[in-house]
Amino acid sequence: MAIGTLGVVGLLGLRAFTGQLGILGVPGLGQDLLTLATSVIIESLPFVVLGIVLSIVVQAWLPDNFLMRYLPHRPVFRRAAISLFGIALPVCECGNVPLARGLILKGFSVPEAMTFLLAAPIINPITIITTYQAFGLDDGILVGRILGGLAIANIVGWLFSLHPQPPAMLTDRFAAQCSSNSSHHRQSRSEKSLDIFMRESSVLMPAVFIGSLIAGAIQVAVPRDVLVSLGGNPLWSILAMMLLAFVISVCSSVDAFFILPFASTFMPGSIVTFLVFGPIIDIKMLAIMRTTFTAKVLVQLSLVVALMSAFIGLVINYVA
Amino acid sequence: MSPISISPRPPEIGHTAQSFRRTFAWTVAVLLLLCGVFLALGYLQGPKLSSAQLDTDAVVSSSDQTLRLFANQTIAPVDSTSVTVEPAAAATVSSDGDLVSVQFAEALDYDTEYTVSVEGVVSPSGGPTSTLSYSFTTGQPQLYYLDRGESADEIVQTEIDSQERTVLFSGEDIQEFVPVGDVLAVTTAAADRTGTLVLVNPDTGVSERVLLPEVGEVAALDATRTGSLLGFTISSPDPGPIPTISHTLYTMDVNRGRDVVAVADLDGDPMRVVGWQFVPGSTTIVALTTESTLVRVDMTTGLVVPLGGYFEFDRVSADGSTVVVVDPRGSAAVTLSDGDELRLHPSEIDGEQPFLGQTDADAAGNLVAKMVLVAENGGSFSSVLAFDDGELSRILYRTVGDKGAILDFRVSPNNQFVAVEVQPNVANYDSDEYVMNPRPQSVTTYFVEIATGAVTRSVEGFGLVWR
Repeated sequence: MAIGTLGVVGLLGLRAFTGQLGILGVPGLGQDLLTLATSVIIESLPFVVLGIVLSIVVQAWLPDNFLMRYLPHRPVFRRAAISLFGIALPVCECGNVPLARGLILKGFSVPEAMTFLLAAPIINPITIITTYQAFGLDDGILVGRILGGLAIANIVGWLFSLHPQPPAMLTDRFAAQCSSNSSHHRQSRSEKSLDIFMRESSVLMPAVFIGSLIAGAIQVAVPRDVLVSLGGNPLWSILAMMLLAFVISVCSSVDAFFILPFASTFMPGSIVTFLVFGPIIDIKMLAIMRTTFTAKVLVQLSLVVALMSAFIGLVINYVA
Repeated sequence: MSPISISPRPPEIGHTAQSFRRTFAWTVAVLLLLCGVFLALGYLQGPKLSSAQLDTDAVVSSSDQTLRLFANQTIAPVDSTSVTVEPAAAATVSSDGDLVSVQFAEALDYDTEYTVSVEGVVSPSGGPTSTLSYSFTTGQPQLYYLDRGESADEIVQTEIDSQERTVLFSGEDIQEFVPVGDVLAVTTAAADRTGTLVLVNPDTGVSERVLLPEVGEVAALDATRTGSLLGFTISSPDPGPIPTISHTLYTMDVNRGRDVVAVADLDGDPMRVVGWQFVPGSTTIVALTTESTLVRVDMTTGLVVPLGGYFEFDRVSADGSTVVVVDPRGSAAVTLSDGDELRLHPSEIDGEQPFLGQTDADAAGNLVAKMVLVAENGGSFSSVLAFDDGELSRILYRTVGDKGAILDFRVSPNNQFVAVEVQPNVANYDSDEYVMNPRPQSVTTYFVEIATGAVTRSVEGFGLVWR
């Protein structure tokens, strides 16, 4: 929490300081780094807060077993239903992490929460609308993104449902929090809400700031021209788009507009790869997800998601 | 870590760490294999056509239309030699990124299926080549003509290959008409030649009389092919030191109110003309003033550019490239872009030297012209419509037994057809005796294909407008 507050205060101070200095006050690369990192923070911060609020609603205000009651019992159908939760939640990927944490604390299994986490940023209404606005129905980009996102989420959910020890996929700190969650019964809902807000903010805010800084730094270091020059090659275009998505860490609700100028240079499949891979795996998301999942799980997750995203892109390149 | 139970429900049990690792490895392996298969298929396939853009109606009426072919990936630059158009049509080619632009040098034929192929398309990074191929069928023109009847005159709409006729407006004493925007502009004349201008909406049937700035003869109607600009002349007595007839040129944008505005000449005064026309496909006017100056007027900016001195105004070519005018030395085609003048001398027809009449001269120098052949003994004349490619003229249409007369003709915007107004037999005097613009009651318009000289159909009427 302190780091998050410091970050916001730091941003305001930075604005005041650099405003007085003018454009010559900070070296060019430094300006780029600050601009890029700040833009990622500003873009993601509202959604992180909204996600925390939704997490509070789920944890403190929804009756126990409210969501469980209406979900199918068979795991496959259950995960399929959970993967559609995002349709009703206009929250991008950063906001879904606290919500996914809330679902785990509310009794969802880790693979189920993971299924939600991967699907929700792609099928949320804002993302669908902005993707449609950017691409329409051209080249199957919108359909590929929605179906691809759902497929990735469900397959990853299935894969990790085979994990022999689901709690072992969580960080020690979060697992301990899950364990101690049942001891808060005597708190009022308001107290519980405040407690959850403090706790989630203190965990997530530093990850948002650090992840955004790293994303900004790498964008400064890797020339975009290098990525663009690879756009016409079936393989390199997909790898370049995955790398671009990983580096820039742009929010899923606006990533379609970000990538639109690249659509004339890159193959449509690589655009879809960008649109399904980016909301799940990028520097900022890895930093935020690291608050919940172990490094080993994140590596496994990244590998499977990367391969599936590439596969979806290659299929669309072949068919479209 | 605490031995906690994250989920209250029983997990999908029976899995061991080993089985998870095995399933994970298999999943990764299968995904790698699938990626490899589709990567190979993608490489073997080469670039593909993703989408194409073309206005199939505009491509038959304008020479600057572009077919845009979008590949599914960036491609190496394409040159003109790799592009073929079937049936053959002149085109230039450029490419940028994933876009191949094929710009047609001339308007294409009506209702014809064209196939454009770009061969040897390859990614900038190499790999297999492919052919981008796109087929499209061009649009048909809308045709309008005036059919004067005993009880009422009709403005009729039809198509080039259909016998259907749709009456858009019916009224008395129609002198001229022209479609403009969503309406028809129609002029009528009273017995003293005083004209009226009426705008008719064929969809609603509502007609509206336009308040004119002068009382006089309303004539020489013309309109932009696209857009909503209408032009006409009003001729009224001008009591000056030397009494004259005004012949003032006016325009009106039917989509922007009903203001009738006089076109300004070089001095800023209302322009008086002996002939005028819109340049097809633009809002530029070409006019021959009563002071014998040929001018080009940009109606957007009002800029007036003099193009030379001539006596008679014939017509602007259907492709909008030239205007044919006449002076004591004969006919000349004046290029509208730069004012260059080409004197017109018709080529021989079957070894005989014809005399040139009304002429349409296209950008390539081809003429479609009314020509007169004089018998060797000088005792008879034949009025024919001929096509002159600069070396030889061939007859497109002549009346049966040379008994009739070719009254006028209108070349289609794509130079594929010419509509010929014919009086079948001049021996039968059958004028409709309209006070202005009279026509024989037997006037018939024939549609002749310029390439073959074949008559494709005919309609009873005249004043054909190609749209």
